[in-house]
Amino acid sequence: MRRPSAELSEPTQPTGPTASRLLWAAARHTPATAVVSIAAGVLAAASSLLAPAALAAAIDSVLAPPAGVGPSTAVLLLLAVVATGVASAALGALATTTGVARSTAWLRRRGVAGLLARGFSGSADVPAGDATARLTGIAAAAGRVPAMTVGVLTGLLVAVVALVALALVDVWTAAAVLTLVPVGVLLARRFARRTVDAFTDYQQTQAAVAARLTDALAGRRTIRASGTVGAEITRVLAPLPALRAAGARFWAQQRDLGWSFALLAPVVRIVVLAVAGLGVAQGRLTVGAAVAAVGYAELVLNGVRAVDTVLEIAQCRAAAARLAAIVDEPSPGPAPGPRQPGPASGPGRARLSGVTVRLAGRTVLDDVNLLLVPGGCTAVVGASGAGKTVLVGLLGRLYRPDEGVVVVDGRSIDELDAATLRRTVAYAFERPALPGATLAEAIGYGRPDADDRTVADAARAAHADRFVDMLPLGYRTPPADAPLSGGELQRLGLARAVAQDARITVVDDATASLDSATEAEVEQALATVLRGRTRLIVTRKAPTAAAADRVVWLHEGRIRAHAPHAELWGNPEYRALFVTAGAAMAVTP
Amino acid sequence: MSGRTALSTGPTTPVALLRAGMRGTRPAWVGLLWFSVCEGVPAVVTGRLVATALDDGFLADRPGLGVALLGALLVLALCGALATRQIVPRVARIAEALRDHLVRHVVAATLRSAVAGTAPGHDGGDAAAVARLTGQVESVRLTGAALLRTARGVAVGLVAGVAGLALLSPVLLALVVPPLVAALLLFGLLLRPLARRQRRTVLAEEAIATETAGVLFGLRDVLACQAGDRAADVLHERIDEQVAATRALGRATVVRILIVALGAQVPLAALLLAGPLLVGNGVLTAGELVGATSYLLVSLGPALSSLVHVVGSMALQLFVTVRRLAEIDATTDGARTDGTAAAGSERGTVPAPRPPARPSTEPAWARRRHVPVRRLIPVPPVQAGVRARGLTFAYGPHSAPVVEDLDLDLADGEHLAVVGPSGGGKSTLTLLLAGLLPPAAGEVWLGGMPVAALHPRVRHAAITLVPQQAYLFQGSVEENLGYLTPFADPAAMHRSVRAVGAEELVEGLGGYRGTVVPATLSSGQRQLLALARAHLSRARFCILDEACCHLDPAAEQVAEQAFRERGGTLLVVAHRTGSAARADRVLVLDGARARVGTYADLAGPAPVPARVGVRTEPRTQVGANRAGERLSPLVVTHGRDGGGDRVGLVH
Repeated sequence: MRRPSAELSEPTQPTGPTASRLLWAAARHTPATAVVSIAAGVLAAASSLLAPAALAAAIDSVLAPPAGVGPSTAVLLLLAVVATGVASAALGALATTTGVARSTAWLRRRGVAGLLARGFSGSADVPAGDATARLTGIAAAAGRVPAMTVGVLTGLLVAVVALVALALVDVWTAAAVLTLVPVGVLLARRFARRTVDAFTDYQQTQAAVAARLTDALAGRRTIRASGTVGAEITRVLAPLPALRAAGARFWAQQRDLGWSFALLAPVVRIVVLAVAGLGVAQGRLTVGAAVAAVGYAELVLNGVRAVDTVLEIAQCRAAAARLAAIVDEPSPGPAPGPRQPGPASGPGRARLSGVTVRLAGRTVLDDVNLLLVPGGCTAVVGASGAGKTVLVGLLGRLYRPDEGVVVVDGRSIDELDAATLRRTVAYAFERPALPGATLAEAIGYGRPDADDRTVADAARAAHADRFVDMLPLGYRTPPADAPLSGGELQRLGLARAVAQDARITVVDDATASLDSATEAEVEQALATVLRGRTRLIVTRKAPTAAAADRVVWLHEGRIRAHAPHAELWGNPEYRALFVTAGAAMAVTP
Repeated sequence: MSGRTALSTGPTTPVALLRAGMRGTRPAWVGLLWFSVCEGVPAVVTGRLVATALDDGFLADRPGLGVALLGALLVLALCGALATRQIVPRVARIAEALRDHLVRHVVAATLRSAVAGTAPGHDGGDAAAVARLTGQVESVRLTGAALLRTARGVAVGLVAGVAGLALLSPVLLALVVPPLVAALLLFGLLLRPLARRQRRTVLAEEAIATETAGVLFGLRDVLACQAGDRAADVLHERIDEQVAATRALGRATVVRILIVALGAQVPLAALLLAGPLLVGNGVLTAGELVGATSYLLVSLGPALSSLVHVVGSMALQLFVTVRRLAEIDATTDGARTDGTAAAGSERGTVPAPRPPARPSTEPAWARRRHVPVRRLIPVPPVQAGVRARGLTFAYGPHSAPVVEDLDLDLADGEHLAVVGPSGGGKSTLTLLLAGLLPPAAGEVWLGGMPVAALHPRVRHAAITLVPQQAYLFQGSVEENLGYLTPFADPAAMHRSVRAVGAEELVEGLGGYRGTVVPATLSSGQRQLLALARAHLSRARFCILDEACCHLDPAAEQVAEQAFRERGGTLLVVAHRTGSAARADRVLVLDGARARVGTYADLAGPAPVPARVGVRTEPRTQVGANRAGERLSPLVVTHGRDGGGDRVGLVH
């Protein structure tokens, strides 16, 4: 069912039908703008096609004025054509911009929905940075595809019609253009390909600088301690001459090919003028017709330039494929059924029956059965990699069982809607992230109806109130601007869990960064606030395990024991799980 | 330290940044100007030649002359294209010079602010810095080059168009110039709102990126709060704002198109409406009429349209990007970049002691400027006894102190282990002792000399601190090991490698000439090499801050033993109990409280607390006097420091 993760991170996915479907849907999402921009494009194309003929007639009428006063019909017709062209271009620009913006927005929304639907376990396949890139730059590139396709198609259509029109005006001129244009197409293609080669070179050298910078940033502490910033800057910048050389190659190609390409337009123009001029001399063409021939030749040339855009569309379609991968990827595990509100309150009894979880082909939890009694405090211990985080993540649907069920107060959690689940399970993590625009929002993040008082009470319970009060903006401080230590961050995470006011609280090593005195205070406060609630605590500290009613000892995805701490303590393997086993001091993990 | 002044990274303005990036490109600019003029010549005479070819050639039954004149035009076009060919390398030289400067600026500013910061960087921040290097600098390079090439074309097109029309017939100027000038004036008026809208779209795009990264990097927490809908709502708001911003910009684009129509199409209409009169009165010939329309359609029209495009979007985009690059330095938290660590160490000066807990609202540069400096001690201390008095440090003006009023005495050659929970101030203490962080209060002495007054070079030579995250870079094993000791004796290097137990690893890497690829080494292997590097250094005071945490206990013991035998004072932030047991004395740091004693003192006689770390004994138990008494076997007389009477900590 699951695609291997390597395939997803593969940068060069074939642009399959999925990408096309997504783009088609994005285009159809804004039908009005699509219709207007196509109509405007056709109108603009038509007026650009009519313009040379109208100009020819106008010039001829100016050179041989018909009887009567005022401007001739031909001149008025030309003005009408030009005005239509300007108006349709303006309308087209407006519709296209709106269309691109809306398509991009639609793609982004789909991407957001897709990423959130994958769940936490599904998100492992696409690293957060990569996913961010897909929702920003990549979505923007993909959003341009429909409009660019319309643009290229009308451009090519105009070129073909212009060529026909040219042939109608003068077959010889058309023949001349037809001989020259393939050269132009060939040059444009060669130009694009070779430029890509040189650019790849350049990008690789640039990546070398970026890699050195990344290394140095990771070693910032050593660099600081050694006072070697200056030397490091020099070292990171060492590939700069190579970068310059690669850049020089890139520009040299720009020069060689851009030059010959730049010559194409004047050559075509002059050859067309000469052929048409000879036609005028032979009486085959009027002066106006000669001007029209030049105009149509220009339109054909514009079509040749559209080759560039075709290449760009190909790149943007590749971008769309990367976006499609996150939009359409089905979430692993059995598809969840319809979700409904569940009981608003309950004792907080949780049962895991025959739960097996496989991640990336590895069995992380294997046929786990567990019962959490209402109001009980259960500690989860185990070596790293034993599956502790996955086990506690099951309750909040952070991980989904591949087999088995998770039932809280008689209802499978898969059936519960978000609002119910929110009041069912709350989490406090060792290193919480703090989404939300302000600290108040961050603390109330799991409680949409939280008011200032709820937030302040929760912060007090988690001993997070004092340092928040000291901030100039208090609870209105954006989390990113608050200078938080690890312990302070952890206490905010605890406050968030308290504010959520759920029947079951999962504490995932959430007091690890607190100094022991603060930890004791926090734990005492939490014991008061969470009294009577079901608690599940992942820990590496013996006293925490000792304070729990029972301990679940996980070993390689299975429950090795489920018993009080005191009963297990005799086992040396059990004792070895704890960081400070036997030591009197607060030596860190 | 050479070349550092060239890499000044203070906050700068976009204009200053651009100007600095253009330094030394004057010849390229001169060449650019000259070849632009050459490039413009064919454009100026095109209309005249076409008109003559028609009037005197094709229409006068002399097609040979017409073709010859057009042939001449072809030759001129070739010359113009050759000039274009000469222009590219000059544009490239300017763009590459600008890129070089921007890369230097970004690398230097990013590294400096990262190194000056005390908080560990997060991956998102690092990724953003690298993205700036690859994304924004590239955008400036390519936009800058495109701008130069197009802007030149625009100038050439406008000048050539107007000059060519004047060559054809001065009457034409009267028809063309007024609408053109009106269009330019209108565009000038439009520029400011256009810039505002452009900036709004850029900011909207950034807001999406920031919010998306926030949600995705915190996805576990978002989903754990069952707040996916809430996160999506906020994202949708940002996405909608982007649509609104783009549409606002799009409306401005429509005005741009109308302005181009005013400048280019209105003269054409005027020409054709007045045409019969002009041709009838003999003011214009048929050829001149065709030439004039060709100028309007081929030269002036496109030129005006590109001008509007170039200035309206490219130039604005360039400016917005350069402005963001210029802001890098300002994004660093002022409180973290000031003080001895950043300013003093690089400039060879040290700020005089400042009152503690000064509000950090003032930017770092402003404080640097007001700070009086005094001369630094250029000679290393003779011995390595360490003494600290009243050491206090807090990360924010209102934060609780991480280290508070700590006194500490280490004899030359002593081995101290520091233990305590994370967040207890261990790493902060190491930074304070190494002189890398200016204390809010108190002072540190090394061998009797105030650490803050040591010249940074002397200080770095005398104190080596090995942090938990070992830093290796792509290069030879030798280069990596000699990082702190350039020109090290190969025999000494080998001794250090053997001492810390890295011999096998070095052999596996292909000996000292072998290549280190950091990503291919395990954390433990990296730590081993970093330890060998520190062991090799000549510093008399070594601080290992959990530098062995990825080694197995046996390897850790070997490494620590090597440092004990190496001589000099050793401070180890212990990761395991065994590491603390090996030390002469142990310092327990827990929040702002501390106690010191032998391992046996601290672990043995005291009753095991019911809950680890929760103090069951009164704190005064390890007060200065009683600690001195209790720990008497460990008191070492501290020669010149005279600090032997105080061993423990006072609180």
